[in-house]
Amino acid sequence: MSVRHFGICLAYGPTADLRKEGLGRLLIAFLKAAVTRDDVRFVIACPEWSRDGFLTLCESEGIPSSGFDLVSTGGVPVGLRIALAWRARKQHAPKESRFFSLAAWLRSRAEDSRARLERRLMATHSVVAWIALVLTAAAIGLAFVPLLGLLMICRALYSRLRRWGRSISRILRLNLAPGLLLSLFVRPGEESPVVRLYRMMEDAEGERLLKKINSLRHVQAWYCPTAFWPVFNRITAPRLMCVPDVLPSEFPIGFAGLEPELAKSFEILEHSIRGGERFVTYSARMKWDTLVGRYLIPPAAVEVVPHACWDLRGSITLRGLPDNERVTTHYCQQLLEGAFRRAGFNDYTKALASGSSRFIVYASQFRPNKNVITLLRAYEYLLRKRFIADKLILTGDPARFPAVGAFIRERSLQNDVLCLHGLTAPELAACFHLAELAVNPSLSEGGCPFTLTEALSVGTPVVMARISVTEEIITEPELRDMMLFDPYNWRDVAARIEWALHHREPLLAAQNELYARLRRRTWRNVVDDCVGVLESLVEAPARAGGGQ
Amino acid sequence: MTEPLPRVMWLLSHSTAREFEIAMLKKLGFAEVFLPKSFPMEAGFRSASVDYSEDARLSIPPDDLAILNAADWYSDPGRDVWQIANKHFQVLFFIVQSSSFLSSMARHFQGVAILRAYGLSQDMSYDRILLHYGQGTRMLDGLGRRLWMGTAYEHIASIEPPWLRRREVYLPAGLDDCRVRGDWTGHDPTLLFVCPEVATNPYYMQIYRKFKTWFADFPYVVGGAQPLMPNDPHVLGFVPADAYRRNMREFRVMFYHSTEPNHVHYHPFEAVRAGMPLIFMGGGILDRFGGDGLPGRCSSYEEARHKVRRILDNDRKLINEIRFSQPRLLNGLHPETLQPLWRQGMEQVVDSLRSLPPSTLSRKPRIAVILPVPYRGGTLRSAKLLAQALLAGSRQFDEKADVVFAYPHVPEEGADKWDEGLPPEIPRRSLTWLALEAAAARRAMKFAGHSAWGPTAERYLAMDDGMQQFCDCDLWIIVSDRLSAPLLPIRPYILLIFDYLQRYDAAFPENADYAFLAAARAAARVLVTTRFTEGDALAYGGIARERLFRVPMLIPERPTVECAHREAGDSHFLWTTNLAAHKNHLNAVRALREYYEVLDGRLECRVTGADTKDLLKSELPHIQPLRALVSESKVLAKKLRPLGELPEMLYQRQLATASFLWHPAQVDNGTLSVVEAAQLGVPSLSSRYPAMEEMNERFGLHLAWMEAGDPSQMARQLKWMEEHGPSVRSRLPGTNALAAHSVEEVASEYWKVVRECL
Repeated sequence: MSVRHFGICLAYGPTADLRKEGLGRLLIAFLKAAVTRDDVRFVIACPEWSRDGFLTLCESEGIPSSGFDLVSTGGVPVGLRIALAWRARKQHAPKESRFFSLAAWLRSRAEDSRARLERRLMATHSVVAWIALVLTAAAIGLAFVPLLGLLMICRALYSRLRRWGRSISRILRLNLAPGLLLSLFVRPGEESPVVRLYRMMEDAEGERLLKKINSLRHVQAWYCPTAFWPVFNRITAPRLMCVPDVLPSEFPIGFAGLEPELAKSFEILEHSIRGGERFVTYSARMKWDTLVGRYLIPPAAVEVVPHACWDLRGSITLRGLPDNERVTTHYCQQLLEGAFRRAGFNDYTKALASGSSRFIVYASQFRPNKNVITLLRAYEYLLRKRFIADKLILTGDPARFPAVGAFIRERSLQNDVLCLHGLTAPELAACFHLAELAVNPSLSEGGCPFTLTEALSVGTPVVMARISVTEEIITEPELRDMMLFDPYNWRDVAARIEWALHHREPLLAAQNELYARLRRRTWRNVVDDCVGVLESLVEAPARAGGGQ
Repeated sequence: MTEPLPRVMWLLSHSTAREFEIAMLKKLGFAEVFLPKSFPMEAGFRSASVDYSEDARLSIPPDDLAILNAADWYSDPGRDVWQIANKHFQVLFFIVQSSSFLSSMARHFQGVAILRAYGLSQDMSYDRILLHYGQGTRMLDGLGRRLWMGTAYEHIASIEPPWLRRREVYLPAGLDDCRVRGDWTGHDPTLLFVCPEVATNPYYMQIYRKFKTWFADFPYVVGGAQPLMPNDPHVLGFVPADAYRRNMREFRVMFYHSTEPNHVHYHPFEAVRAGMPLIFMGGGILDRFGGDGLPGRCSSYEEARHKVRRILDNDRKLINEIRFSQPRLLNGLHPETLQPLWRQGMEQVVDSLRSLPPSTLSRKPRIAVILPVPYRGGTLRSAKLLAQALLAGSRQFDEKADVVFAYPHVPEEGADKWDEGLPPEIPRRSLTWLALEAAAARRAMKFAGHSAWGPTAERYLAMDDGMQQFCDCDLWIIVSDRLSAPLLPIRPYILLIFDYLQRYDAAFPENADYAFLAAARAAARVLVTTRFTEGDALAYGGIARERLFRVPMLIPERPTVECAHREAGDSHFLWTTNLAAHKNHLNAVRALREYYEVLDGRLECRVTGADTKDLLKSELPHIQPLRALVSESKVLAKKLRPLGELPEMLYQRQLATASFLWHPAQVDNGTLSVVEAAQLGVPSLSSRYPAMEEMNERFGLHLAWMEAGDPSQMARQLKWMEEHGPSVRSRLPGTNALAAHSVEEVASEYWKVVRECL
């Protein structure tokens, strides 16, 4: 059987951790299924800086490296190596210096000697011995006087230098730096110099990657899982670009308030879409509203390839003991307690017994489309007016989206709304498994939110926003009425959550039927769909998208 | 050991250890051994199993055995179970799995307890574990000389501090069968590395990662139980017995990584028994088993790689050298070799049992019921009812106990004396709070015999009664969690918590309640009286489920005043409240205004409760707006009558003649006033919230409901009550129905929980 080669272009930045990227999870699920096809072999092209991380991730996920080919740029820019080394040094916990270890040792020895001397001094019956001891003590004391003096001088000098250092850094920080230095490099609203340099490096590495890709003549067509990498559009072979979403266009004000760098990323994204040929999206809404509606891409150039079902059981379901269900729950509690401790907001959270708390979970980053404030309003109402006992666990970082943190503080909800960001995959699975209910109030997504199958896979029911990408998947009217709410009305969000908490079992039973249906679509189906589109590109290369 | 030997409880579940140790105990003459029939469902218990085979040899009544078999010996089996254990057993072996087991055993077991110490990782000691689970040595102090540390390896007590070293008894670990089998072939040129839990346990994850960095280029497989299978084709996971035997017979070599000086796994010995060459790292405990100098020993990973490579390449000379020399490792595990040591150790234990001081005639336990803050009203009344319930409960169980009642010293008395209504057999004490700095706290604990206790807070609270600072009491029960700093843990304490109102207050300052929550988490037990507060104690308080107990709400005896004759018609209704924010004053007064001005309400509203005489004068931010509301409405000013806090008799009279009782609070743990009202034939109109719904359901009160957030609806309900008084009254529960919930009737529920802490 002849084997056809297709490529996947990955141009993640050097600091991206694929394990934590949603796209990374999708890629792994895709590859796991892709290696099961005998007639197709994928070639992964990425910058050298992603190579080790990618291979480690594949190994930990049980994807044999023999199942695909990997090509990379072959080297890491010197500037990046320096930057990474600097970052690693900053992250590394400071080691105790040898000087301080020696000082501690000397001090403990000195304390022992002093105690011995005092004991002898007070115990001796002999006047001669007593005088001899006093004289010895005095001599030792005298010998230490110069050393003591020197230490005092050093200490005074050190404090003076620290004071000067603080004054200088204050002047630089408050007056000089913004006024003079930064203005040389940054214009208001533009990227910071570091980000600009970083992007230059990414571009240069992108060029190298492109050269490499274009030299691979045996690869018949290329797939790119996102639209953030403009280099993809310059591949000479047929190309298929996935556009997960274009959220800033729907939430312009919300995203405008986030990192200024987003403006540049958005520019790149639009440029990539406009220069693309063939596309896939995860939902029909994304195809029609965004690509066809906003970017005027011909409908025939866009295929919809929905996700397959997620199954988190593999990360937490333990086996081999008499009561596997209890062992699994205990393991999940341990994982969650670990997450509480790591989050370490305060002693309250660190000491929480995860087995005691009932909670609702919304697993998502904090972004303008995620509708977190509405959920918080609904939750506060449920907690304080409807007296549900549950806590609310969120998985975003309030430091990166201050409105959430402010709301929680203003309403004094710190002990009930816990933000556990940076969860590992098993911790996330544990969180879903232990939750009473999963909620997803997101106003807009590129495809049906992962929450649906993630929660159901570990036996937790879900209530979600009534948005079109979700309704594409949940088609039964009764089930929609049961589990969907109006995300623009916090009272409706609250009412649906309260109903679900009181009708957990019937809701779960109905959703298990849905899950059984959704499980029929596997990642192999997703791969087959994508391969089908790639094959069609090879057979009849389209030029439908324009190509700038 | 000529006298009959005591029965033994071997409260462990490790299969291999059990095989050896039970056989050894039998050889020494301990003919009757009890084994636990369950173990924690945790991944760490991967080598555990349940064995019923010893039950047939136990000459104890089958009913007692059934109770012991049903008990959880890794947590708190309960006082009654311990009493049965004490009847039949004098020696027990245990491991430390939970704080609840340790405290329960220390409190209730009367024989000798042997902590089975198989050694720990290098950075851990039994002292640290016991101090962690035992809150210092506070729990273990109760065991005194009856606690032994049964070390499995001779040297492991040397790293422990003197208090534990003094308790050492050497009971070496061994293997029931140390014969070397002769069927190893080594046909499969694969390296066997045993490493359990590689996907779930960070300790083993680390070990496996290190192994891979050195041996990934060899053909290898990983054995050991894997509760969660990693995505790694090298990991075998569970293998059936046949496959396991085949693996031990056919794999070429085993590598053992551990350099832990105090702990060893069983699998390297299994390899030696199978005749499989064992390559192991030197510096670990195997050196003590004669491993030092063996050809399979390696000083470095480079050396280990080199030797493994030679064996995989079928270097027969090295293979034979290793195989023929390594049985030396089993010498120290032979039952015959170890029997004299076990005999010596167990003789020590049995001698100590015989030389225990006779149990002194125990005095009656004394329990202090303490109000930490000078609460009045419902909280004070509940505290007094609790004291009465404990007294009654102890009598019902025929386990007499003294109960004392303590109240903060107050210069001024309120409407009633704080101890009004308390039975004379409950002595009273006044208390003042002492704050002890950390150093003084340490001294106090040391003086009390808790030498290993160390402070973790800057300041501790202690209670001064002018006598022995409540140290004459065996248990303190604090009514509410309002402790501004940790309580000095010189005695165990229980908290009775009514509510977590701060959870429902959006203006509550961040972390202002942390000390309260911490006090509850450190309590031996926490009592709550409603499902609602139980939910909050778990979800908000973060209290471990096994220490939280829901007990029935206590209701006062039937008031002594007579029910009112109503021929003359009703003149008023009674609003019982205080000035706390959750009492919902603003909505209540808005509702009253509407009731009088819009709905032509006829009944006067009489307000009673602590501080209510200041209802229209207080400067509290949530009370201030009432003044304007009342001054704007003549009829409201006329009909709203604050009575202040009334003496009990006067209050009852006001209540008995009221048309109904009004309870417009937003949320709390429920109010007893509605029960008292029902006892006097007076119905109640209450806000609808979970605790009141629970009370309504429990006592069959047929409460009328209103929404605390909707003043208009509240007003309409007031009018409805005015108009439907007789029909509502007719649905009230009868005297007998309420008597079924009296203190005497539910006292045993309280005693069952509290007696476990004595």
